[in-house]
Amino acid sequence: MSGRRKVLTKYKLGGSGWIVTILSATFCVFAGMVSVTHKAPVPYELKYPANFGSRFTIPADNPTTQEGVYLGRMLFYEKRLSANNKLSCESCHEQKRAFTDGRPVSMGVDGSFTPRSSMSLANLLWVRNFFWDGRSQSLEAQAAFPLTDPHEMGQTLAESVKKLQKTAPYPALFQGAFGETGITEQNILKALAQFERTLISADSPYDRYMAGRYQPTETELRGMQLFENGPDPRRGIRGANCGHCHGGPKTFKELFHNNGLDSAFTDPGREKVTAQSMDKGRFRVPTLRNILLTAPYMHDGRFKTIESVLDHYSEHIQQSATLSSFLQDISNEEGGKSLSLAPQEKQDIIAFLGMLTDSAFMTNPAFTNPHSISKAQQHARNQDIQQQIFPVRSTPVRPHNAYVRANRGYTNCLRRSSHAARTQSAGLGIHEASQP
Amino acid sequence: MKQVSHKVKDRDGKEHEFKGVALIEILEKAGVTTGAKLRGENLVKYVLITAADGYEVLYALAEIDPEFADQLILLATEKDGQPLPAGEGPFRIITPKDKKPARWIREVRSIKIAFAKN
Repeated sequence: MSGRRKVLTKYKLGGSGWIVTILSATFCVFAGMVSVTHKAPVPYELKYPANFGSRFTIPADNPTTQEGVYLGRMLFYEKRLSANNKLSCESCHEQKRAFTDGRPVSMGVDGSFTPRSSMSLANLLWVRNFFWDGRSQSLEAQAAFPLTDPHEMGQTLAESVKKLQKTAPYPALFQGAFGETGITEQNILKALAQFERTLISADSPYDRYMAGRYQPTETELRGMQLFENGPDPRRGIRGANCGHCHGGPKTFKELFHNNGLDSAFTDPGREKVTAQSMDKGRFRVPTLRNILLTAPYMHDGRFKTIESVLDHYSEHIQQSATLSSFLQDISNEEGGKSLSLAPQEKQDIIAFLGMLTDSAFMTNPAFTNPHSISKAQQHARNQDIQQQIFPVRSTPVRPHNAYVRANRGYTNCLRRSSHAARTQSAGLGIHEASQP
Repeated sequence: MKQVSHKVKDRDGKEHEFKGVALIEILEKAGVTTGAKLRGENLVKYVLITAADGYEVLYALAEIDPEFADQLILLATEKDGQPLPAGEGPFRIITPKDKKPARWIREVRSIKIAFAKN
Protein backbone atom coordinates (compact mmCIF):
# COMPACT_ATOMS: atom_id res chain seq x y z
CA MET A 1 0.00 0.00 0.00
CA SER A 2 2.76 2.43 0.89
CA GLY A 3 4.29 1.80 -2.51
CA ARG A 4 1.07 2.74 -4.23
CA ARG A 5 0.69 5.87 -2.10
CA LYS A 6 4.19 6.93 -3.08
CA VAL A 7 3.33 6.55 -6.73
CA LEU A 8 0.28 8.71 -6.32
CA THR A 9 2.22 11.33 -4.40
CA LYS A 10 4.86 11.48 -7.07
CA TYR A 11 2.17 11.78 -9.69
CA LYS A 12 0.71 14.80 -7.89
CA LEU A 13 4.07 16.38 -7.35
CA GLY A 14 5.66 15.65 -10.64
CA GLY A 15 2.59 15.97 -12.76
CA SER A 16 4.20 14.06 -15.66
CA GLY A 17 2.39 11.12 -17.15
CA TRP A 18 5.50 9.12 -18.09
CA ILE A 19 6.78 8.95 -14.48
CA VAL A 20 3.54 7.34 -13.44
CA THR A 21 3.87 4.77 -16.16
CA ILE A 22 7.40 3.80 -15.14
CA LEU A 23 6.63 3.64 -11.43
CA SER A 24 3.47 1.64 -11.98
CA ALA A 25 5.42 -0.75 -14.13
CA THR A 26 8.03 -1.12 -11.38
CA PHE A 27 5.31 -1.74 -8.83
CA CYS A 28 3.76 -4.44 -10.99
CA VAL A 29 7.09 -6.19 -11.47
CA PHE A 30 7.77 -5.99 -7.76
CA ALA A 31 4.30 -7.33 -6.90
CA GLY A 32 4.85 -10.12 -9.40
CA MET A 33 8.11 -11.14 -7.74
CA VAL A 34 6.49 -11.13 -4.32
CA SER A 35 3.81 -13.49 -5.52
CA VAL A 36 6.52 -15.77 -6.98
CA THR A 37 8.38 -15.93 -3.64
CA HIS A 38 5.18 -16.80 -1.77
CA LYS A 39 3.96 -19.52 -4.07
CA ALA A 40 3.33 -22.88 -2.46
CA PRO A 41 6.22 -25.36 -2.52
CA VAL A 42 6.04 -28.00 -5.25
CA PRO A 43 5.34 -31.55 -4.01
CA TYR A 44 8.27 -33.96 -4.36
CA GLU A 45 7.19 -37.38 -5.53
CA LEU A 46 9.03 -40.18 -3.76
CA LYS A 47 9.55 -43.06 -6.17
CA TYR A 48 10.46 -46.59 -5.21
CA PRO A 49 9.86 -50.15 -6.38
CA ALA A 50 6.46 -51.62 -5.50
CA ASN A 51 8.09 -54.50 -3.63
CA PHE A 52 9.40 -52.08 -0.98
CA GLY A 53 5.80 -51.62 0.13
CA SER A 54 4.19 -48.45 1.38
CA ARG A 55 4.46 -48.95 5.12
CA PHE A 56 5.87 -45.55 5.97
CA THR A 57 4.53 -42.37 7.46
CA ILE A 58 5.33 -38.85 6.42
CA PRO A 59 4.21 -36.39 9.11
CA ALA A 60 1.17 -34.40 8.00
CA ASP A 61 2.92 -31.17 9.01
CA ASN A 62 6.00 -31.90 6.90
CA PRO A 63 5.06 -32.95 3.38
CA THR A 64 8.00 -33.62 1.08
CA THR A 65 8.50 -30.74 -1.36
CA GLN A 66 11.09 -29.82 -4.00
CA GLU A 67 12.03 -26.71 -2.03
CA GLY A 68 12.20 -28.53 1.30
CA VAL A 69 14.34 -31.35 -0.09
CA TYR A 70 16.78 -28.92 -1.68
CA LEU A 71 17.03 -26.91 1.53
CA GLY A 72 17.54 -30.12 3.50
CA ARG A 73 20.35 -31.08 1.13
CA MET A 74 22.00 -27.67 1.63
CA LEU A 75 21.71 -28.11 5.42
CA PHE A 76 23.00 -31.69 5.29
CA TYR A 77 26.27 -30.34 3.89
CA GLU A 78 26.28 -27.12 6.00
CA LYS A 79 29.21 -26.87 8.43
CA ARG A 80 27.71 -23.80 10.11
CA LEU A 81 25.39 -26.21 11.90
CA SER A 82 28.31 -27.32 14.07
CA ALA A 83 29.83 -25.45 17.02
CA ASN A 84 33.25 -25.09 15.36
CA ASN A 85 31.95 -24.68 11.78
CA LYS A 86 33.98 -27.73 10.78
CA LEU A 87 31.45 -30.58 10.80
CA SER A 88 28.32 -31.20 8.78
CA CYS A 89 26.10 -34.30 8.60
CA GLU A 90 28.36 -35.36 5.73
CA SER A 91 31.38 -35.59 8.05
CA CYS A 92 29.99 -38.92 9.29
CA HIS A 93 27.71 -39.72 6.34
CA GLU A 94 29.64 -39.59 3.06
CA GLN A 95 27.68 -40.40 -0.07
CA LYS A 96 30.54 -42.43 -1.58
CA ARG A 97 30.35 -44.78 1.42
CA ALA A 98 26.56 -45.11 1.28
CA PHE A 99 26.42 -42.32 3.86
CA THR A 100 28.72 -43.87 6.46
CA ASP A 101 32.21 -42.65 7.37
CA GLY A 102 34.51 -45.66 7.19
CA ARG A 103 35.43 -45.32 10.87
CA PRO A 104 34.49 -47.57 13.80
CA VAL A 105 33.15 -44.55 15.70
CA SER A 106 33.19 -40.87 14.77
CA MET A 107 34.84 -37.75 16.19
CA GLY A 108 32.70 -34.83 17.37
CA VAL A 109 33.44 -31.10 17.65
CA ASP A 110 34.96 -31.56 21.11
CA GLY A 111 37.45 -34.15 19.86
CA SER A 112 35.68 -37.00 21.66
CA PHE A 113 34.32 -40.08 19.94
CA THR A 114 30.71 -41.14 19.54
CA PRO A 115 29.82 -44.31 21.44
CA ARG A 116 28.46 -45.99 18.29
CA SER A 117 29.25 -46.34 14.62
CA SER A 118 27.73 -44.04 12.01
CA MET A 119 24.79 -45.74 10.25
CA SER A 120 24.05 -45.82 6.52
CA LEU A 121 21.26 -43.46 5.50
CA ALA A 122 19.78 -45.58 2.72
CA ASN A 123 16.01 -46.16 2.67
CA LEU A 124 15.24 -44.32 5.91
CA LEU A 125 11.77 -43.65 4.53
CA TRP A 126 10.77 -47.12 5.78
CA VAL A 127 12.53 -46.99 9.16
CA ARG A 128 10.27 -46.51 12.16
CA ASN A 129 12.79 -46.50 15.04
CA PHE A 130 16.00 -44.59 14.40
CA PHE A 131 19.51 -45.10 15.79
CA TRP A 132 21.13 -48.35 16.90
CA ASP A 133 18.84 -48.34 19.96
CA GLY A 134 15.70 -47.12 18.17
CA ARG A 135 15.20 -44.17 20.49
CA SER A 136 13.70 -41.87 17.88
CA GLN A 137 10.42 -42.40 16.05
CA SER A 138 10.75 -39.91 13.22
CA LEU A 139 13.43 -38.43 11.01
CA GLU A 140 12.42 -35.00 12.30
CA ALA A 141 13.04 -36.03 15.93
CA GLN A 142 16.19 -37.94 15.00
CA ALA A 143 17.95 -34.99 13.39
CA ALA A 144 18.11 -33.01 16.65
CA PHE A 145 20.41 -35.58 18.32
CA PRO A 146 23.56 -35.34 16.18
CA LEU A 147 23.10 -31.60 15.70
CA THR A 148 23.00 -30.75 19.39
CA ASP A 149 24.95 -33.55 21.11
CA PRO A 150 28.09 -31.91 22.60
CA HIS A 151 30.15 -34.87 21.36
CA GLU A 152 28.80 -34.63 17.81
CA MET A 153 28.02 -31.29 16.11
CA GLY A 154 27.55 -29.63 19.49
CA GLN A 155 25.41 -26.61 18.66
CA THR A 156 21.97 -25.67 19.97
CA LEU A 157 19.26 -25.34 17.38
CA ALA A 158 18.72 -21.75 18.54
CA GLU A 159 22.34 -20.95 17.66
CA SER A 160 21.95 -22.66 14.27
CA VAL A 161 18.88 -20.51 13.57
CA LYS A 162 20.92 -17.37 14.35
CA LYS A 163 23.80 -18.40 12.10
CA LEU A 164 21.54 -19.32 9.20
CA GLN A 165 19.63 -16.04 9.47
CA LYS A 166 22.91 -14.26 8.74
CA THR A 167 23.83 -16.54 5.83
CA ALA A 168 22.57 -16.21 2.27
CA PRO A 169 20.77 -17.98 0.68
CA TYR A 170 19.10 -19.52 3.74
CA PRO A 171 16.46 -16.84 4.52
CA ALA A 172 15.15 -17.18 0.94
CA LEU A 173 15.40 -20.98 0.90
CA PHE A 174 13.50 -21.35 4.17
CA GLN A 175 10.83 -18.95 2.98
CA GLY A 176 10.52 -20.92 -0.25
CA ALA A 177 10.16 -24.20 1.61
CA PHE A 178 8.13 -23.16 4.66
CA GLY A 179 6.64 -19.76 3.80
CA GLU A 180 6.26 -17.12 6.46
CA THR A 181 7.63 -19.19 9.38
CA GLY A 182 11.06 -18.96 7.74
CA ILE A 183 14.13 -20.11 9.68
CA THR A 184 13.09 -21.91 12.87
CA GLU A 185 14.49 -24.81 14.87
CA GLN A 186 11.64 -27.06 13.73
CA ASN A 187 12.07 -26.09 10.08
CA ILE A 188 15.77 -27.04 10.17
CA LEU A 189 14.78 -30.52 11.37
CA LYS A 190 11.92 -30.75 8.90
CA ALA A 191 14.09 -29.87 5.90
CA LEU A 192 16.78 -32.38 6.88
CA ALA A 193 14.09 -35.05 7.27
CA GLN A 194 12.69 -34.25 3.84
CA PHE A 195 16.10 -34.65 2.20
CA GLU A 196 16.77 -37.89 4.06
CA ARG A 197 13.46 -39.38 2.86
CA THR A 198 14.71 -39.04 -0.71
CA LEU A 199 17.82 -41.18 -0.07
CA ILE A 200 16.33 -44.27 -1.68
CA SER A 201 18.63 -47.07 -2.79
CA ALA A 202 16.67 -49.42 -5.01
CA ASP A 203 18.67 -49.96 -8.18
CA SER A 204 21.19 -52.63 -7.20
CA PRO A 205 21.77 -55.83 -9.20
CA TYR A 206 19.53 -57.52 -6.58
CA ASP A 207 16.69 -55.13 -7.49
CA ARG A 208 17.28 -55.78 -11.17
CA TYR A 209 17.31 -59.52 -10.45
CA MET A 210 13.95 -59.24 -8.65
CA ALA A 211 12.60 -57.31 -11.62
CA GLY A 212 13.85 -60.04 -13.99
CA ARG A 213 16.58 -57.89 -15.53
CA TYR A 214 19.75 -59.38 -14.05
CA GLN A 215 21.15 -62.89 -14.20
CA PRO A 216 23.20 -63.61 -11.06
CA THR A 217 26.44 -65.58 -11.30
CA GLU A 218 26.64 -69.12 -9.91
CA THR A 219 28.31 -67.94 -6.71
CA GLU A 220 25.79 -65.12 -6.24
CA LEU A 221 22.93 -67.59 -6.64
CA ARG A 222 24.44 -70.00 -4.12
CA GLY A 223 24.97 -67.06 -1.75
CA MET A 224 21.35 -65.99 -2.16
CA GLN A 225 20.15 -69.48 -1.26
CA LEU A 226 22.36 -69.61 1.82
CA PHE A 227 21.25 -66.10 2.81
CA GLU A 228 17.57 -67.09 2.70
CA ASN A 229 17.67 -70.67 4.00
CA GLY A 230 17.62 -71.72 7.60
CA PRO A 231 19.98 -74.70 8.04
CA ASP A 232 18.33 -78.09 8.37
CA PRO A 233 21.09 -80.74 8.39
CA ARG A 234 18.63 -83.62 8.75
CA ARG A 235 17.03 -82.68 5.44
CA GLY A 236 20.36 -81.77 3.86
CA ILE A 237 19.55 -78.06 3.64
CA ARG A 238 22.47 -75.73 4.22
CA GLY A 239 21.88 -72.12 5.16
CA ALA A 240 22.95 -69.08 7.12
CA ASN A 241 19.42 -67.84 7.93
CA CYS A 242 20.43 -64.18 7.34
CA GLY A 243 17.01 -63.52 5.80
CA HIS A 244 15.29 -64.22 9.11
CA CYS A 245 16.19 -60.68 10.20
CA HIS A 246 17.51 -59.17 6.95
CA GLY A 247 14.94 -60.68 4.62
CA GLY A 248 12.72 -59.01 2.05
CA PRO A 249 13.61 -56.46 -0.61
CA LYS A 250 14.62 -53.86 1.99
CA THR A 251 17.08 -56.31 3.66
CA PHE A 252 16.06 -55.28 7.16
CA LYS A 253 13.09 -55.90 9.37
CA GLU A 254 12.11 -53.45 12.08
CA LEU A 255 13.73 -55.58 14.80
CA PHE A 256 16.16 -55.34 17.72
CA HIS A 257 18.33 -58.33 18.53
CA ASN A 258 21.33 -59.33 20.58
CA ASN A 259 23.48 -60.89 17.88
CA GLY A 260 25.95 -62.54 20.21
CA LEU A 261 28.85 -60.09 20.02
CA ASP A 262 29.60 -60.31 23.76
CA SER A 263 28.58 -62.25 26.82
CA ALA A 264 28.65 -59.09 28.99
CA PHE A 265 27.71 -55.66 27.69
CA THR A 266 29.46 -52.34 28.09
CA ASP A 267 26.77 -50.80 25.88
CA PRO A 268 23.26 -51.79 27.05
CA GLY A 269 21.74 -50.94 23.64
CA ARG A 270 17.95 -51.04 23.53
CA GLU A 271 17.71 -51.57 27.30
CA LYS A 272 18.60 -47.92 27.80
CA VAL A 273 15.48 -46.91 25.87
CA THR A 274 12.94 -49.42 27.19
CA ALA A 275 14.35 -49.93 30.73
CA GLN A 276 13.58 -53.65 30.31
CA SER A 277 16.39 -56.02 31.26
CA MET A 278 15.42 -58.44 28.48
CA ASP A 279 16.53 -55.75 26.01
CA LYS A 280 20.12 -55.66 27.23
CA GLY A 281 22.56 -55.86 24.35
CA ARG A 282 19.87 -55.64 21.71
CA PHE A 283 20.56 -53.37 18.76
CA ARG A 284 18.74 -52.44 15.61
CA VAL A 285 18.85 -54.85 12.66
CA PRO A 286 20.30 -52.49 10.04
CA THR A 287 19.82 -52.54 6.29
CA LEU A 288 22.34 -54.59 4.28
CA ARG A 289 21.95 -52.34 1.25
CA ASN A 290 25.43 -51.31 0.00
CA ILE A 291 26.92 -53.33 2.85
CA LEU A 292 30.27 -53.91 1.13
CA LEU A 293 30.83 -50.13 1.19
CA THR A 294 29.93 -49.54 4.84
CA ALA A 295 32.78 -51.19 6.78
CA PRO A 296 33.62 -51.32 9.61
CA TYR A 297 30.64 -53.27 10.93
CA MET A 298 28.40 -53.60 14.02
CA HIS A 299 27.20 -50.86 16.40
CA ASP A 300 30.74 -50.29 17.64
CA GLY A 301 32.50 -50.86 14.33
CA ARG A 302 34.47 -53.78 15.76
CA PHE A 303 34.72 -55.79 12.52
CA LYS A 304 36.93 -54.26 9.85
CA THR A 305 35.90 -56.64 7.08
CA ILE A 306 32.78 -58.42 5.87
CA GLU A 307 34.72 -61.69 6.18
CA SER A 308 35.03 -61.17 9.94
CA VAL A 309 31.26 -60.56 10.12
CA LEU A 310 30.64 -63.91 8.43
CA ASP A 311 33.16 -65.57 10.77
CA HIS A 312 31.31 -64.09 13.73
CA TYR A 313 27.91 -65.48 12.74
CA SER A 314 29.42 -68.78 11.71
CA GLU A 315 31.73 -69.54 14.64
CA HIS A 316 31.88 -66.88 17.35
CA ILE A 317 28.37 -66.25 18.71
CA GLN A 318 28.65 -65.46 22.43
CA GLN A 319 26.03 -66.79 24.81
CA SER A 320 24.17 -64.44 27.15
CA ALA A 321 20.74 -64.20 28.79
CA THR A 322 19.35 -62.04 25.99
CA LEU A 323 21.02 -63.70 22.97
CA SER A 324 18.54 -63.82 20.10
CA SER A 325 16.75 -67.17 20.02
CA PHE A 326 17.27 -67.15 16.25
CA LEU A 327 21.03 -67.47 16.80
CA GLN A 328 20.86 -70.32 19.32
CA ASP A 329 21.19 -73.99 18.45
CA ILE A 330 21.22 -73.24 14.78
CA SER A 331 23.78 -75.21 12.83
CA ASN A 332 24.59 -76.81 9.52
CA GLU A 333 25.81 -79.86 11.44
CA GLU A 334 23.43 -82.20 13.22
CA GLY A 335 23.54 -81.38 16.94
CA GLY A 336 26.05 -78.60 16.22
CA LYS A 337 26.30 -75.48 18.36
CA SER A 338 27.56 -73.05 15.74
CA LEU A 339 26.38 -72.23 12.25
CA SER A 340 29.56 -73.77 10.77
CA LEU A 341 29.60 -72.40 7.25
CA ALA A 342 32.26 -73.69 4.87
CA PRO A 343 34.82 -71.13 3.58
CA GLN A 344 33.32 -71.30 0.07
CA GLU A 345 29.84 -70.73 1.52
CA LYS A 346 31.04 -67.55 3.23
CA GLN A 347 32.48 -66.38 -0.09
CA ASP A 348 29.16 -67.16 -1.79
CA ILE A 349 27.24 -65.10 0.75
CA ILE A 350 29.66 -62.21 0.30
CA ALA A 351 29.15 -62.47 -3.46
CA PHE A 352 25.41 -62.17 -2.88
CA LEU A 353 25.94 -59.20 -0.56
CA GLY A 354 27.81 -57.56 -3.43
CA MET A 355 24.53 -57.69 -5.39
CA LEU A 356 23.20 -55.16 -2.86
CA THR A 357 25.63 -52.47 -4.02
CA ASP A 358 23.64 -49.81 -5.85
CA SER A 359 26.43 -47.84 -7.52
CA ALA A 360 24.04 -45.17 -8.81
CA PHE A 361 23.15 -44.35 -5.19
CA MET A 362 26.78 -43.39 -4.46
CA THR A 363 26.96 -41.05 -7.45
CA ASN A 364 23.38 -39.76 -7.65
CA PRO A 365 23.77 -36.03 -8.41
CA ALA A 366 20.65 -35.24 -6.37
CA PHE A 367 22.45 -36.28 -3.19
CA THR A 368 25.83 -34.58 -3.75
CA ASN A 369 27.16 -31.58 -1.88
CA PRO A 370 25.44 -28.52 -3.38
CA HIS A 371 28.05 -26.22 -1.79
CA SER A 372 31.03 -28.01 -3.25
CA ILE A 373 30.97 -26.27 -6.62
CA SER A 374 33.94 -23.90 -6.65
CA LYS A 375 33.32 -20.15 -6.80
CA ALA A 376 34.62 -19.92 -10.39
CA GLN A 377 32.36 -22.76 -11.52
CA GLN A 378 29.44 -21.26 -9.64
CA HIS A 379 30.02 -17.93 -11.33
CA ALA A 380 30.21 -19.55 -14.77
CA ARG A 381 27.12 -21.55 -14.01
CA ASN A 382 25.20 -18.50 -12.82
CA GLN A 383 26.15 -16.71 -16.01
CA ASP A 384 24.89 -19.66 -17.97
CA ILE A 385 21.58 -19.81 -16.14
CA GLN A 386 21.18 -16.05 -16.33
CA GLN A 387 21.65 -16.06 -20.04
CA GLN A 388 18.94 -18.63 -20.44
CA ILE A 389 16.48 -16.89 -18.18
CA PHE A 390 17.44 -13.24 -18.23
CA PRO A 391 19.19 -12.73 -21.55
CA VAL A 392 19.61 -8.97 -21.23
CA ARG A 393 20.53 -7.85 -17.74
CA SER A 394 22.27 -9.56 -14.84
CA THR A 395 19.76 -10.39 -12.13
CA PRO A 396 20.49 -12.56 -9.10
CA VAL A 397 19.65 -16.18 -9.78
CA ARG A 398 16.86 -17.47 -7.63
CA PRO A 399 17.72 -20.69 -5.80
CA HIS A 400 14.58 -22.12 -7.35
CA ASN A 401 16.35 -22.46 -10.71
CA ALA A 402 19.43 -23.91 -9.12
CA TYR A 403 17.63 -26.81 -7.55
CA VAL A 404 15.46 -27.56 -10.52
CA ARG A 405 18.68 -27.90 -12.48
CA ALA A 406 20.50 -29.86 -9.83
CA ASN A 407 17.67 -32.32 -9.43
CA ARG A 408 17.08 -32.99 -13.07
CA GLY A 409 19.38 -36.01 -13.18
CA TYR A 410 17.67 -37.64 -10.26
CA THR A 411 14.20 -37.13 -11.64
CA ASN A 412 15.21 -39.04 -14.75
CA CYS A 413 16.72 -41.79 -12.66
CA LEU A 414 13.51 -42.07 -10.63
CA ARG A 415 11.42 -42.19 -13.73
CA ARG A 416 13.29 -45.35 -14.71
CA SER A 417 12.81 -47.04 -11.38
CA SER A 418 9.16 -46.07 -11.31
CA HIS A 419 8.75 -47.71 -14.67
CA ALA A 420 10.32 -50.86 -13.26
CA ALA A 421 7.95 -50.68 -10.31
CA ARG A 422 4.94 -50.38 -12.56
CA THR A 423 6.10 -53.27 -14.70
CA GLN A 424 6.58 -55.39 -11.65
CA SER A 425 3.26 -54.67 -9.99
CA ALA A 426 1.51 -55.23 -13.29
CA GLY A 427 3.22 -58.61 -13.59
CA LEU A 428 2.13 -59.64 -10.12
CA GLY A 429 -1.39 -58.37 -10.64
CA ILE A 430 -1.33 -56.81 -7.20
CA HIS A 431 -2.81 -53.48 -6.35
CA GLU A 432 -1.62 -51.99 -3.13
CA ALA A 433 -3.48 -49.02 -1.67
CA SER A 434 -1.05 -46.16 -1.33
CA GLN A 435 -2.15 -45.51 2.22
CA PRO A 436 0.90 -45.17 4.47
CA MET B 1 -7.85 -66.33 35.92
CA LYS B 2 -8.80 -69.65 34.46
CA GLN B 3 -5.83 -71.64 33.18
CA VAL B 4 -6.20 -73.27 29.79
CA SER B 5 -3.79 -75.52 27.91
CA HIS B 6 -3.28 -76.62 24.31
CA LYS B 7 -1.14 -79.45 22.94
CA VAL B 8 0.22 -78.24 19.62
CA LYS B 9 3.09 -78.84 17.25
CA ASP B 10 5.58 -75.93 17.30
CA ARG B 11 8.12 -74.75 14.74
CA ASP B 12 10.56 -77.46 15.91
CA GLY B 13 8.10 -80.07 14.61
CA LYS B 14 7.50 -81.45 18.12
CA GLU B 15 4.31 -81.40 20.17
CA HIS B 16 4.34 -79.19 23.27
CA GLU B 17 1.78 -78.40 25.95
CA PHE B 18 1.30 -74.65 26.28
CA LYS B 19 -0.54 -73.31 29.31
CA GLY B 20 -1.87 -69.85 29.98
CA VAL B 21 -5.09 -67.85 29.91
CA ALA B 22 -7.52 -67.23 27.09
CA LEU B 23 -6.59 -63.99 25.34
CA ILE B 24 -10.29 -63.09 25.11
CA GLU B 25 -10.56 -63.14 28.91
CA ILE B 26 -7.77 -60.59 29.24
CA LEU B 27 -9.41 -58.37 26.64
CA GLU B 28 -12.76 -58.63 28.48
CA LYS B 29 -11.10 -57.60 31.74
CA ALA B 30 -9.56 -54.65 29.94
CA GLY B 31 -13.02 -53.52 28.81
CA VAL B 32 -12.72 -54.46 25.13
CA THR B 33 -16.00 -54.96 23.26
CA THR B 34 -16.34 -58.73 23.20
CA GLY B 35 -19.25 -61.21 23.08
CA ALA B 36 -22.62 -59.47 22.62
CA LYS B 37 -20.87 -56.11 22.20
CA LEU B 38 -18.76 -57.37 19.30
CA ARG B 39 -21.09 -56.23 16.52
CA GLY B 40 -21.67 -53.32 14.16
CA GLU B 41 -18.70 -50.97 13.91
CA ASN B 42 -16.79 -52.97 16.52
CA LEU B 43 -16.29 -55.62 13.85
CA VAL B 44 -13.67 -53.40 12.21
CA LYS B 45 -11.48 -53.48 15.30
CA TYR B 46 -8.08 -55.12 15.12
CA VAL B 47 -5.62 -56.43 17.69
CA LEU B 48 -1.97 -55.47 17.07
CA ILE B 49 0.46 -57.46 19.18
CA THR B 50 4.08 -56.34 19.52
CA ALA B 51 7.05 -58.35 20.78
CA ALA B 52 10.10 -57.13 22.67
CA ASP B 53 12.23 -57.32 19.50
CA GLY B 54 9.75 -55.20 17.55
CA TYR B 55 8.05 -58.08 15.68
CA GLU B 56 4.36 -57.40 15.14
CA VAL B 57 1.34 -59.49 14.22
CA LEU B 58 -2.27 -58.60 13.72
CA TYR B 59 -5.58 -60.32 14.35
CA ALA B 60 -9.10 -59.09 13.70
CA LEU B 61 -10.81 -58.77 17.08
CA ALA B 62 -13.52 -61.19 15.96
CA GLU B 63 -10.86 -63.86 15.28
CA ILE B 64 -10.06 -63.91 18.98
CA ASP B 65 -13.64 -64.12 20.22
CA PRO B 66 -14.75 -67.77 20.56
CA GLU B 67 -18.28 -66.70 19.67
CA PHE B 68 -16.89 -66.15 16.17
CA ALA B 69 -13.89 -68.45 15.93
CA ASP B 70 -13.72 -72.17 16.49
CA GLN B 71 -10.63 -71.98 18.69
CA LEU B 72 -9.37 -70.45 21.92
CA ILE B 73 -6.28 -68.28 21.45
CA LEU B 74 -3.94 -68.44 24.44
CA LEU B 75 -1.65 -65.97 26.07
CA ALA B 76 0.70 -68.73 27.22
CA THR B 77 3.10 -68.47 30.15
CA GLU B 78 4.24 -72.12 30.39
CA LYS B 79 5.57 -74.77 28.02
CA ASP B 80 5.66 -78.44 29.11
CA GLY B 81 5.19 -77.46 32.75
CA GLN B 82 8.00 -74.87 32.77
CA PRO B 83 7.80 -71.09 32.51
CA LEU B 84 8.49 -70.03 28.92
CA PRO B 85 12.25 -69.58 28.42
CA ALA B 86 14.05 -66.32 27.67
CA GLY B 87 13.54 -65.35 24.06
CA GLU B 88 10.10 -66.97 24.03
CA GLY B 89 8.43 -65.71 27.21
CA PRO B 90 7.31 -64.50 29.55
CA PHE B 91 4.22 -64.34 27.31
CA ARG B 92 3.56 -65.99 23.97
CA ILE B 93 0.45 -66.19 21.82
CA ILE B 94 -0.68 -69.68 20.80
CA THR B 95 -3.25 -69.88 18.01
CA PRO B 96 -3.85 -73.62 17.60
CA LYS B 97 -5.67 -73.45 14.26
CA ASP B 98 -3.10 -71.28 12.51
CA LYS B 99 -1.23 -73.81 10.37
CA LYS B 100 1.90 -71.61 10.28
CA PRO B 101 3.17 -70.48 13.69
CA ALA B 102 4.20 -67.05 12.39
CA ARG B 103 1.50 -65.33 14.47
CA TRP B 104 2.40 -67.32 17.59
CA ILE B 105 4.30 -64.24 18.64
CA ARG B 106 6.92 -64.63 21.38
CA GLU B 107 8.04 -62.14 24.03
CA VAL B 108 4.68 -60.32 23.88
CA ARG B 109 5.14 -56.79 25.15
CA SER B 110 2.02 -54.92 24.09
CA ILE B 111 -1.49 -55.61 22.81
CA LYS B 112 -3.28 -52.74 21.13
CA ILE B 113 -6.94 -52.73 20.08
CA ALA B 114 -7.99 -50.11 17.55
CA PHE B 115 -10.45 -49.34 14.78
CA ALA B 116 -9.16 -50.01 11.28
CA LYS B 117 -8.99 -46.79 9.27
CA ASN B 118 -9.86 -46.63 5.65
